[in-house]
This record gives sequence, C-alpha cells and structure tokens, in this order.
Amino acid sequence: MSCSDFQHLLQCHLDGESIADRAALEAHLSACSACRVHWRAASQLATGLRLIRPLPVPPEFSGRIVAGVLAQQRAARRLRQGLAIVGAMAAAILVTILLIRVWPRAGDTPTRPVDSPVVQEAPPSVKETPGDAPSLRESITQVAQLTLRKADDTVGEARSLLARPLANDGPSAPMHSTPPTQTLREAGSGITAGLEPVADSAKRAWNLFLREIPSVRPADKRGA
Amino acid sequence: VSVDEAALVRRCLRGDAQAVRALVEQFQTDVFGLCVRLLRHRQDAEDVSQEVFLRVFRSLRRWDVTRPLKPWIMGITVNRCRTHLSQRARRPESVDYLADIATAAEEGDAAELVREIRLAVAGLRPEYRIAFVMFHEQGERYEEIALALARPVGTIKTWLHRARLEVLERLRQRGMVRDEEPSQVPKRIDA
Repeated sequence: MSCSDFQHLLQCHLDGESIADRAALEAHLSACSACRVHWRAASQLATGLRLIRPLPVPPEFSGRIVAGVLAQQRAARRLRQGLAIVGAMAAAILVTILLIRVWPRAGDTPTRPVDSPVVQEAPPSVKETPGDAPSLRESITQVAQLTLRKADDTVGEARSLLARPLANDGPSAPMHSTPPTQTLREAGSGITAGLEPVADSAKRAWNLFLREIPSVRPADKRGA
Repeated sequence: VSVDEAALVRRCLRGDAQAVRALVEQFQTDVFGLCVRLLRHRQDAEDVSQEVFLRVFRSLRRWDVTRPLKPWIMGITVNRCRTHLSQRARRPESVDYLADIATAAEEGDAAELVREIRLAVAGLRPEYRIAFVMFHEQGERYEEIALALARPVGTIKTWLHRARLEVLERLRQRGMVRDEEPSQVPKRIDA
C-alpha cells in the first residue's frame, strides 16, 4: 500500500466505510510514520466528533416560529386582497375615462372607424391628459379677466384724453398751444396703445383655444 | 419526494396552522443545529432560524415537488447563515462564539479535544467548513449536501477531504496527537 492509497483509505474510513484490507493498512502504518501520525489524528478527530452532541432546540422555539409564519401569511393575504381592490378600482377608473373620452367623439364622427382610438388622431405635440382640463379652464378665465381689466383701464384712459380737448374749448379756458386735431390724434394713439394688451390677450386666448381643440379639426376637414 | 411531504406543503400553502407547526417541528432541529454550528452563537442562530422558516414559507410555492424538501430547506439555511456571517464580519464583535456553544457535558480532555476541533473547523474557508459541519456534525449525506449547496457531489467530496486534512493538520500542530515510538504501532484498527 502506498501513502496515496492510505490517504484514500483514510477518507473512506472517515466517511464511515469499513476497511476491507486491514492487514495491508496495518503493514503500511508500521512502515510509514507520517501516515501513522495522520491515522492517529484521524482517530482523535473521530473521537471528538462523537463527543459533539446534538444541540437542543430552545423551548417554545417552534411556537414562536409558527406564530411568525402565520402572521406573515395573514399579512400576505391582506396585501393580495388590497392589491386586488386597488386593481379593480384602477380598472374601473380607466374604463370610465375611456367612456367619457371616446363616447361623444364617436357619435360626432360617424364616418370614423369604430376601432380607431380618438387619442391616436391627436397630434403628438398636444397634451390631452385629464390633468390639463382644469388648468385650461383656469387659463381661459384668467385671460378673460385680464382682458376685462385692460378694457376698463383703456376706457378710463380714453375718457380722460377725450375730456381734455373738450375742456380746452370752454370760454374760460386759456388758449392752448397745440391744435385740436393734434389732441385728437394723440387720443387716438392713446386708445390704440391702450387696446394693445386687450388685443394681445384675445389673440393669446384664441391661439390657446385653437391648440386645445385639435381633435375636432381633422373631422371638420374630412367633413369639408 | 414522499407523498407526505407534498401533502404537508399543500396544507401549509392553504394556511393550515397544524401543517405549519408539523413542518417546523420536522426540520427545526436540523435548521437550528446548522445555524448554531455555522454561526457559533445561540441567539444569532435563533434569529436566523426564524428568518429561515419565514423565508421557507414565503417561497414554498417555488419548491420543486420533484426534489426532496430537506436539502431545499438546508440550502436556504446555509444561504441565510452566509448572509448573516458577512453582515457580522462588517461590525466589531467581542463575543466568544466557540464558548457560546460549549456544553457542560464536555469536560477535561474530551472538552479540550472538542474545543480544538471547533477551533480547527472555525479556521476553515467557508465552503470547507459548511461541508464539514453538514457531514460530520449534522449527519447529512453527500447527495443531500450537494443538493443543498447546488454543487456536484464530487465538489462536495473534494471540499470535505481537504477540510479533513486541514483539521487533522491543525490537531497535530496543536499537540492533540501524541507522537509514538515505532514499537507502539496499533495492533488492531477499529473500523
């Protein structure tokens, strides 16, 4: 028996297998001191491993684990139920939004195929999210209020300008150096300047409307 | 896979508390024992064992019914222990882990031998240590260890053989093996 054979035998022995050729092993151990030391060490190891006892499980160990596992299962069940409810609600909201958006337009355009979604007809630059509707209304209201305010300011300015030449025509009034035609021209330019914000606001409002109603335009064009 | 195991798992999945308890009691000794021996700390072992079972029941639907249940659970146990050890390595500890699992029954020379074996095993690289502990201290077979660690049986044998040689060398270096005269060759080999 060689030292290599001995090492193989040693591993088999530690695996728990029985030694077939004991005589050959004893002969090798008698001749090889290194393997003999190894053999004694293996015997010590086997002895020590037999002394290592199974570790007792702490009391109430399984009870604590079972309680934890059952709590986990209940939490998972609640989570699944919650997700199902949220999913159902989301689906209901989605269907409602689709019905609101698709239903009237489908009625307006009978020539449009039924399966063509309205959203696809909108140009990509237009944002037709539900969140935009209130902001659009707010912006229109603000534009209208601005227009009215500017109109009031302009009317006030025009009145003040028109009041000056009329006052100059009075008998008690001192002679003015500028002719009346120049005063009227000045008043006219003042009115124009005063109306400029109104015109701009109206223009902006109109452009905003044109941008926000693109989905109607293709249908109108087709109709025309 | 035994029919009993599959049936037990099905009952556990239905939320049967008795089945959950039966499954825990069936494997708690193996799981806790392996945790204690790999972590060398009872309290850590209790915590990790609980984590193991929570994970087992959370993943029970993914268990392959064509494979035995025990190696699957032991594989989860080994993975959780590895994670815990890596976390523990990142923080300073002053706990004597080996003393923590010593039993009162171990006294004198026997206690010293067991302590030296534990020290030697603790010094092994992780793969060797897991293979050694699972085979020699947990009594697992090569095939079960291979399934648990998802490695070929040959790899497990190699790890274990190298682990044994390192432990034997450590025992020799620590003076646990007495040098004998050539005339004191053992006349009879105990199998």
